[in-house]
Amino acid sequence: MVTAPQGWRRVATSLAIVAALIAGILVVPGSVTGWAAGPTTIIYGKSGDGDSMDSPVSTNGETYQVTTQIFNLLVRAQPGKTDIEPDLATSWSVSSDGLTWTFKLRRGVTFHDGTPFNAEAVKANFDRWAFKDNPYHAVKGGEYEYWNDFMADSYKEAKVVDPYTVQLILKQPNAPLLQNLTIIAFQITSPASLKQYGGTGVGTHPVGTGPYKFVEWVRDDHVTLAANPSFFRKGLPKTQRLIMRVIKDNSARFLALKSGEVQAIELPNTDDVKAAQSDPNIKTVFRPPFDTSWLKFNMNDPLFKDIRMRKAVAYAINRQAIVQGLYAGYGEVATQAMPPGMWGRASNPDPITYDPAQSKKLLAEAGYPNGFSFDFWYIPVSRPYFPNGKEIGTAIASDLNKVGIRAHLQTEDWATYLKDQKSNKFPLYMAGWIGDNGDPDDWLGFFFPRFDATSARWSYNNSAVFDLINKAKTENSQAKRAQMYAQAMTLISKDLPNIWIAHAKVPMLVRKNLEGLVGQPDSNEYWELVSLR
Amino acid sequence: MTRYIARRLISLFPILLGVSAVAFLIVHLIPGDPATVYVGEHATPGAIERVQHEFGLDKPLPVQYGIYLWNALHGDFGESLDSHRKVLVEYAPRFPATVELTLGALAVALVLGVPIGILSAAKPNSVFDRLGMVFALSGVSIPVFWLALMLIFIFSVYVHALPTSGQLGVNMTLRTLTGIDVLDGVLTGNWPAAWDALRHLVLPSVTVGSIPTAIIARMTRASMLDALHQDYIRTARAKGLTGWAVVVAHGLRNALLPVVTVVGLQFGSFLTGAVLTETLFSWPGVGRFMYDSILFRDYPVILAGILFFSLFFVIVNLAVDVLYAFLDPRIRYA
Repeated sequence: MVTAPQGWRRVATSLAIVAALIAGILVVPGSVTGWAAGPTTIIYGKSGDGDSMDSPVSTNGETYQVTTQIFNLLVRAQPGKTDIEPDLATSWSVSSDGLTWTFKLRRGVTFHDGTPFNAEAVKANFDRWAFKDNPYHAVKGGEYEYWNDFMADSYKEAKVVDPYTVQLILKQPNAPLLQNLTIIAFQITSPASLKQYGGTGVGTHPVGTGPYKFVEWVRDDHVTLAANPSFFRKGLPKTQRLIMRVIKDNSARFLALKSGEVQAIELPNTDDVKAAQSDPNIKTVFRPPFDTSWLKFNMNDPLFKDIRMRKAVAYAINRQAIVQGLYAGYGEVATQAMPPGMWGRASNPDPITYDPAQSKKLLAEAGYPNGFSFDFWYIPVSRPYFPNGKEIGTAIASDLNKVGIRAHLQTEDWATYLKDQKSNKFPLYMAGWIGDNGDPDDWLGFFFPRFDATSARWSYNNSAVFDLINKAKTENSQAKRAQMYAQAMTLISKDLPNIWIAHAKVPMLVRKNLEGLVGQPDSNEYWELVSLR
Repeated sequence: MTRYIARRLISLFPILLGVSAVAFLIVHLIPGDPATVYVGEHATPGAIERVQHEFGLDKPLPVQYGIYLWNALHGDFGESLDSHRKVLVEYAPRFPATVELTLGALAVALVLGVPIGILSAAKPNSVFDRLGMVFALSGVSIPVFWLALMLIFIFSVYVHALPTSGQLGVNMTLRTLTGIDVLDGVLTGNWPAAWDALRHLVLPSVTVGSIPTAIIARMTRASMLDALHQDYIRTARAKGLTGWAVVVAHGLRNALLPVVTVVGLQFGSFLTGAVLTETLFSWPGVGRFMYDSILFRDYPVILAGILFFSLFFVIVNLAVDVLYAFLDPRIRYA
């Protein structure tokens, strides 16, 4: 027979066992199980996972952060800048007609699989990107987006002049070519690996010449890379192992940094950046501003055909206050399409200041003395250029309301939002751009190439602007191109198809003992430079 | 009983067919097409068309559904539009991760919930009863994301006792047998990895388990109170049995039936993934995967997910029904 005291004893025993287990889990120190990294390993907390390790067929920024460590380019952006420096090519020149680019290649470089890097390897990569009948061109579900956008129109062929000289022959001049080649989508893959794994297979078996060799990729969890001992930049990389961990939630990523589980993170919440400033173990590193946010008028909409109406909206918005308050102080008011640091900017393009009285006056002149109401679409996701679309949208609507313009805030999910920009659905909407390659064509060429009566995005119509931008694309002299872009920007400013809002510096948070990290405008940092103290 | 189970299993087919049709329709009616998301902000109209053609999205909807169904019957649920890998290959490693979290959460819920319920019912209106119910109420009321962040903050950032996220430390290597890391560690005798996996499991399990702990505690209390007022309890006491013997041996056995139902339902819903918890703890399970897939409009992954989840739900419900028969000899299926 079971008696009461025995029953109690059982309960007490079970509780004690559970308590002991919990205590055990908590008390046994982490070092025993070793989740924390040793000093030779850096763990970087990323906000998402890549879709492939084959950059030419990916447009995913998370992919690029990894492949930048495994691969090299012919030319690359300098640390912290968009200016060009040699990578696998040591020097280059262009013929006077702009149709032949000659690259002298670095000698003594080998791929991670031991095969040599040379002109044949460069040609093999260009052939793969350019020609549909190349055996490694077809990749299931993969599109050579960057190639198609930046190179396909002008490219003819690659010629091997000697083992360390390669020429790119063009059908028509492509002035941004060099700048384009700094995009990691033009990474040089080992031709032997293409043979071994096939065009699709290299997406999971990346073999490059870069500072780190690929070790493993556990999807949605982490990528492990190991130092390449024969990397051509002597003394680099500075760390034996680099692990890129995926922690999607911003707060969780920040807490992983605070606990020391990771040594660096990207894209923290603005509040966490503020909190980190009082944490002695954490410091902030910035990616230079390489983005722009703006409000886009749909000039196909009768409401905004009249420039006085566009100006009335522009004068009513206190951009300085928005940047101060809603970018955590890490932004600056934008006055034109391209961020500071880019060449080809207009010298003083934006005469619009915060002036509600002027706004009211313009409204009255345009026949709307009591204001008007319309749908204003805010961006539904967080982007570097609009860290919080809803808050910024609300602030703008509230500014507009003060002069009698009643903006009804609307949004929809991101997929639909992207699509609807290309229709006439939005009268006014929030948009932005993150640079790809540091060439002005990447900014102005995409948004002002032509007029489209069915699309809010291309609703601005000024043939003088289109001519300048399209001509600049084929002009060889950078000085002349810079002038053309600046001139186009000045014209655009006069017509006010967009209200430029901000350029945001993007903060990264790192542990105090991490040194050498330089924020890259395109977010693809060179981890070879980074070490742990 | 066997015939009953067979009948229930056969009824799965029309259920899954219906689910697939409704899911297919809904998924394709959501505005925004995957091609646009796939190409992103840099999209040119030509690129979108190319991608649409490649994914077969330019065919009429009934044709797309027919092709889908035919392939699914042959075990081919298509390829993820995001990773271009087979949908089944994508789910394969994620499902065991979710099972691991589910078992962890249920363990937490049962180990905490049932004793709290029993003790509260045994001494109704005592201090313990009141404390227990405050605990239960907090469990249901505290938002999961807040609880998760607080747990990470306390146990990882301040005490440095547990890892913040992930299923296994990135420095650990573990041979995969079942995909349930704790189990794999034990089976392969890799004790450091098993221990590491267990430590990773604690905080997410407590987070996911918080709500079911509360529900199970309240359910156990209510049904125990009910059972303890039955005649057979009075008889047992009259026989001379005392205290816990009556509560546990006579009361609990009879009170378990509704608790089993709740546990079964919770189990079914956990298997479909705890989206928030998996995201906050970077747990590589199906919940987070489905969430990402919905944002990406990854049709094949969403559809297969809905089908699998319906399947789990129906099977778990069946298992619960069968379990009834074992717990309560009065229940018979014919």
